[in-house]
Amino acid sequence: MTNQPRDTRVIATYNIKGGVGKTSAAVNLAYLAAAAGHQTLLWDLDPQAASTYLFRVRPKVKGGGRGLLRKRDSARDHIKATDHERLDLLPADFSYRHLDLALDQFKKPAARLRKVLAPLRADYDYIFLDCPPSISLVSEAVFEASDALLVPVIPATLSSRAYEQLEELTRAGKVGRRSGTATFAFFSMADVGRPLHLQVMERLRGIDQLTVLGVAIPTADEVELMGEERNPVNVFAPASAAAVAYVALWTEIERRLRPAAASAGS
Amino acid sequence: MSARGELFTYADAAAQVRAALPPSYGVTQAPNGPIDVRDERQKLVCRIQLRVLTGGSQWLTLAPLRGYERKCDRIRCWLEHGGVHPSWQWKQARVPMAADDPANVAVARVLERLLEIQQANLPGVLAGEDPEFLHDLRVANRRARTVVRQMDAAFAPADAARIAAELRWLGAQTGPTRDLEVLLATLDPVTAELEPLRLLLERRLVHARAEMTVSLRSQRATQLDSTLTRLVQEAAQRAPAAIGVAELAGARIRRLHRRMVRAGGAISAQIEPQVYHELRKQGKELRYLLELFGLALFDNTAVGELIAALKELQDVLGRHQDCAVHAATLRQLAPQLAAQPGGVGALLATGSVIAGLEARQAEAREHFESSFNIFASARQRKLVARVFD
Ligand SMILES: Nc1ncnc2c1ncn2[C@@H]1O[C@H](COP(=O)(O)OP(=O)(O)O)[C@@H](O)[C@H]1O
Ligand SMILES: [Mg+2]
Repeated sequence: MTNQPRDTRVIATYNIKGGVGKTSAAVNLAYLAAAAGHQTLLWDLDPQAASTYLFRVRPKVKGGGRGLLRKRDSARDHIKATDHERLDLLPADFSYRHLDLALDQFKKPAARLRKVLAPLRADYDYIFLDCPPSISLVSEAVFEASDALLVPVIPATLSSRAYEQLEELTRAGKVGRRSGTATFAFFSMADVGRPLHLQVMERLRGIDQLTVLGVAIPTADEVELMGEERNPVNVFAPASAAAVAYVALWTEIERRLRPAAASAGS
Repeated sequence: MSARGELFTYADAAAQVRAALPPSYGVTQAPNGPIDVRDERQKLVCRIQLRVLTGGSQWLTLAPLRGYERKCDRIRCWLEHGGVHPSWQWKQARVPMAADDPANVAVARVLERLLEIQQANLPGVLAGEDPEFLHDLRVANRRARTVVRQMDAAFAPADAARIAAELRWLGAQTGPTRDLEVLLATLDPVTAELEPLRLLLERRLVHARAEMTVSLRSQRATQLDSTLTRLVQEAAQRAPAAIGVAELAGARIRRLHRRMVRAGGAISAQIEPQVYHELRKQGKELRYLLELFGLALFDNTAVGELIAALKELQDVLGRHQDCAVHAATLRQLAPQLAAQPGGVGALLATGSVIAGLEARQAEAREHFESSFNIFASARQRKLVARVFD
């Protein structure tokens, strides 16, 4: 099989905090990308294995994270097809909790993930990285590997502080060292009925250095139900508000990542 | 063609699949859609499709999802134990026939079925997704060549020669790719030192595949199926139909068995590989005749016993031959390999791979005698004489 070079985009869902909707976004957006005809891979980097679970895959990588990082081309051997066409998964493994130690053994630890992903670019149009909630060598490597960071922000004061923290980090140049990594925030678990949420949303949208996407993901039972259904929202509740919001969010992200290809699908 | 009478539906197939798998597995089937098999985590692991060929024959294809190939092997085992026979491609080449069917008619029917299988695997071969397609195509091709060569009395000689030439052409186009695929699979998993060898072989494989693809897309290849089908049908009409299929098949099976017993008995310790190779080729032909005609026309239990003994022998001979071929290929690659980056290290490592192959070959030679003695035993010979007389 000869593979034409693809113009692959690597997208990481990232936030220092847990429970903000990273996994929900990664799973649903990756599904939508694949459903739209793109070869898509999701790498579950979180040892908690939430997205691996949602795709019904066993959270196990033979040789662990260390083995994955060590050998060029070894990621390919661990990829599993999900139940959805064109959507593959690189599963989580318990050993990922020591991934920063594993990374640290390389000369340029922060560049390692990018190296590991490089051969996969021939196979995929989109690669999603579902990150663990932390700031570590892993996140640094993620930033270097990604074309875009997608940061879910719950529009409540407490968690927006987390984002501000990240903002500071970015500005300090500690992360996103590679030029051209775009950072997009979006509101997650937003409740437009709550004045506090509206207030926070308005405030954050007003910050110039911050790109906040227009679409917000509302708090919705369907997103929680993913755990029971073990499927993306668009599979079991395509007409729900959450499903519609994810579609709109994906449309917006794709437009920003590929301004030229605007609407044409090729 | 009577195969139509046996047509079964997706629902039938799904019910059979369900009955053959452990209860923790899930089997679902969309109306007239493929059968989805889910494992104990409810993860979709393979998809089974029911194919109906123009000739009316049917088969099930089992397509594993990426990363679940091993699990699917297990599923296939369960299915086969449960009496369901899916394969990556349909391997069921047997067609119903009666002992006193005229040989030309029965043989034509068998050949048509084999051509169907050969043709059905072609898209998969061109897509290059799975080496099994190529393997199955080549098996069907070899079986067809065996039928033409062995069941000679069913054709006018000129017809047999023309059909054989077309079949041989297809076999020749696909050989190099298959050899490299098998060699690469033998080397797997590749150690770091052997990486240059793997790269070299991969490059050759890419070339071989490209050449194969060009010839399989050529006009000759595109028309091969219809050409062959026409040739087979014309040959069947022209043929000297004086003999019944069982009589002809029985005579040929006896003859092949006799030849093998004689050739194998002559193998002494210092004999050259060529003799093993010849024996293996005859063994393949005998096996195909037993499977295609023996099981359809003669005492099934006895034929099964013969096939089992033959299979043992063929395994040994196959191992012997494969090791010899691989070792020769690797030796021949040495100068090129040395010129690669990291080639010297790879050359050393290849040396020990060759040594390993030779050890396996020697081991196979040691096993030869015992498996041959079973194959050539008085009991087996009597069985052949009784069943195929
Ligand atoms: N929009 C939403 N509405 C309701 N529940 C949500 C929403 N997004 C996420 N959740 C729930 O919140 C929990 C954490 O979400 P998750 O996507 O796993 O976050 P993270 O990956 O950031 O830890 C999960 O139980 C999930 O079902
Ligand atoms: Mg998560």
